[in-house]
Amino acid sequence: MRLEAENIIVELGGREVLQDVSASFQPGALTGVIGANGAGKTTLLRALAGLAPVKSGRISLDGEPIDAFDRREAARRVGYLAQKQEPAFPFRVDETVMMGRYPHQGRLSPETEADRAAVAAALRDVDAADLSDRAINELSGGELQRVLIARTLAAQTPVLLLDEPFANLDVRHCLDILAILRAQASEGRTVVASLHDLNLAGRFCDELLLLHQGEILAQGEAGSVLTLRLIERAFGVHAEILPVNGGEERHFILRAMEGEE
Amino acid sequence: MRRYALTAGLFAAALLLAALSVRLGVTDIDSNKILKVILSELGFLATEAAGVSDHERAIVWHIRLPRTLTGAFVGASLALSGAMLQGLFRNPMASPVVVGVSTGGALGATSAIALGLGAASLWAVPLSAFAGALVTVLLVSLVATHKGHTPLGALILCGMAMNSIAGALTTLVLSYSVSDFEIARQILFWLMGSLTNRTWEHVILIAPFFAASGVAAAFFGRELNLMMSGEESAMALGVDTARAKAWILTIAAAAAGASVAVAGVVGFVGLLVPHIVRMLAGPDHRRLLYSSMTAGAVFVMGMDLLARTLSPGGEIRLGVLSASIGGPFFLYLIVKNRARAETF
Repeated sequence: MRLEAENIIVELGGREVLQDVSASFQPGALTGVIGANGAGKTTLLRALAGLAPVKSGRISLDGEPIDAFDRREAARRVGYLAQKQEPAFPFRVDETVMMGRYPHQGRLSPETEADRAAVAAALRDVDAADLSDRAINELSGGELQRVLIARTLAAQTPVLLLDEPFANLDVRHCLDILAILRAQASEGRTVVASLHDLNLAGRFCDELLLLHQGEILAQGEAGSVLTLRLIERAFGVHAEILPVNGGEERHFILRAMEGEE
Repeated sequence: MRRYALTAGLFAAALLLAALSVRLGVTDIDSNKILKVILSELGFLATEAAGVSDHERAIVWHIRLPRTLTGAFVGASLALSGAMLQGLFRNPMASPVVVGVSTGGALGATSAIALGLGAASLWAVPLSAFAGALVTVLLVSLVATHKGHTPLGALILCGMAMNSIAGALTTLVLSYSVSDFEIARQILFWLMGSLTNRTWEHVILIAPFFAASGVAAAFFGRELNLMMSGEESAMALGVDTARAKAWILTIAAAAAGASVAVAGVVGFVGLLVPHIVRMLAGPDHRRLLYSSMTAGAVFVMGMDLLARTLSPGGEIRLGVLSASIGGPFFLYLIVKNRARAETF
C-alpha cells in the first residue's frame, strides 16, 4: 500500500513542528527516517499514522485520504509503534500481542483461529515465542520492546510505522529486528522506521529521509542522503567516511565540531 | 482454572448472602415461609394457600427483599463504576468519587430534602440525587474538554475542584437546615448511606441502570484493556478513544449515580472492591468488570447484614461500617503488597 504525505504542516503548541513536508513511501521498501532530536521524526510518523492533527496538506493510502477511515479501518491498514514507553500492567505476553488484533475483531466476538495464528506468527517473528506466558511487567526493556513490536506485527497491516524501535535493544536484537523489518518489506509491506544509528540506517534501509528542523533536508538512497555536508548540517557534527568491505560498505565516524558556533 | 474458580466462588457467595439477608432479622421467619411468600407474590402460589401471616408477608416482601436487592444492585453498580474508572484513568486511586458522582449526588439529595420534597414523593430525593450526580459529571467533563480532547489529568483535577464546590454547597444547605431538626436528621442519615427502609421503588429506580451498565460494560472490556497501554497506543491499535472515554464515563456515572440515588453515600466500595478483585483476577477487564460487580454485591450485602445484626436500631450506618472495615483492610493490603511497587 502506497503511503503519501503531500505538503503537510503540523502544529504542536502553536509551533510548526513539520513545515510543508511531502514524501512518498512505496510498498516493498524499508524507509529510514533520520534526523537530530526535535527534527520532527516522531511527529512525521504520528501524522502518517493519522494520530497527529494535520493543519494543512494531505496524507493518503493508495490515494485515499487517511482521515476518510475511522480508527478501526485505519488500524487495519497502518500499524504504528510509539517510541514512548508504555506503562506495563500485568497482562501476559500473548494477551498483549492479541491486543494487536483489536481492529480485526468484532465487539463481542471471541478470538478466532486467524487471531491466534497471527499472534503466534508475530511472536515467532520477534523471537519471543518462549515469553508467551510471562507477565509483561516482569520483562526486561528489550524483551518488552520485542513484544510490543510483535503486537504491531499481529495486526498484519500493509503499512508499518515504527518510532525508534531499537531504542531499548541490545546489538543482536537490534539486528534481528532490522532483519524482521527487511523481511516485512520484501513481503510487500510499506515499512517506515525512525532510527538514530546512521551506520545501520545506511546499511539496512532502501531509502532514507533526513529531517532537519521540521523540513525534509534530503530523501532518497543512502548514498545521496548520507553525505558529509548533509550530516554536518542536520546533526551539527563532523563526519568521516571509512570504506569497509573493500569499499562495498561505508562506515561513519562522527565527531563533535570544535571551536565553531 | 483459577479465574473460573473466582467467578464461581463470588457468584455462590452473592447467592448465599442474598439468602441470608432475606432470612435473618429481628423477626424469625423460616425459609419455607419465605419461599412461599416469594412464590405467591410472583403468582405461582395462591396467597391463601401459602399460610403465612400478613405481618410476615410484609416483612419478607416489602422490607427484606427490596433491601437485599437494593444492596446487591448498589454494590454491583458502585464496584463496576470504580473498576471502569480505574481502568480508564490507569489509576488504582480512581473511584466514582473522583469524577464528582458522589458529592454531586449528595448535593442533589440534600437540596431536595431541605426543600421538603422528600415528603412530597418517594421519588423526589433519589431522582434529585441522580440528577445531581449526572450534572456534576457532565460539568466536570465539559470543563475538562478543550477542542474535543479530554485529557484524563484535567478530568481528575476538575473532578476534585467540583467535589469541593459541591461539598461546600452541601454543607451550606445543611447549615441552613439545622434549625429544622427533622430535615437535618434526614440529610445527615442520607449522607451516611443506608439501606434501611428501601422499597420496591428504590429497586425499580436502580434495576434498569444496573442492568444497562452491566450489558454496556461487556462492550468496553477490550477497549479498557487497550487504553491501559496509553491513549496513543490504544488509538494506533484502532480504538476510537474519544468515543470510548465518553461511553465509559457515562456508564460509570450512571451506575454510580443510581447507587447514590437509592442508598446515599456509600463510600469505599467503588475504590476497594475493584482493587481487590484486580489482585485476584488480573488486569483483563473482560473478567474484571463482572467479577467486580459480583464482589461489590457481596460486599454491600455483607456489610448491610453486619450493620443490622450489630445494631437492629440502625445506629450503625452502612456507609460508616463499610468505610471503617474497608479502610483498615485496604491499608493491610497496601502494606502487604508494598514490596511489589505496582499493585495495580
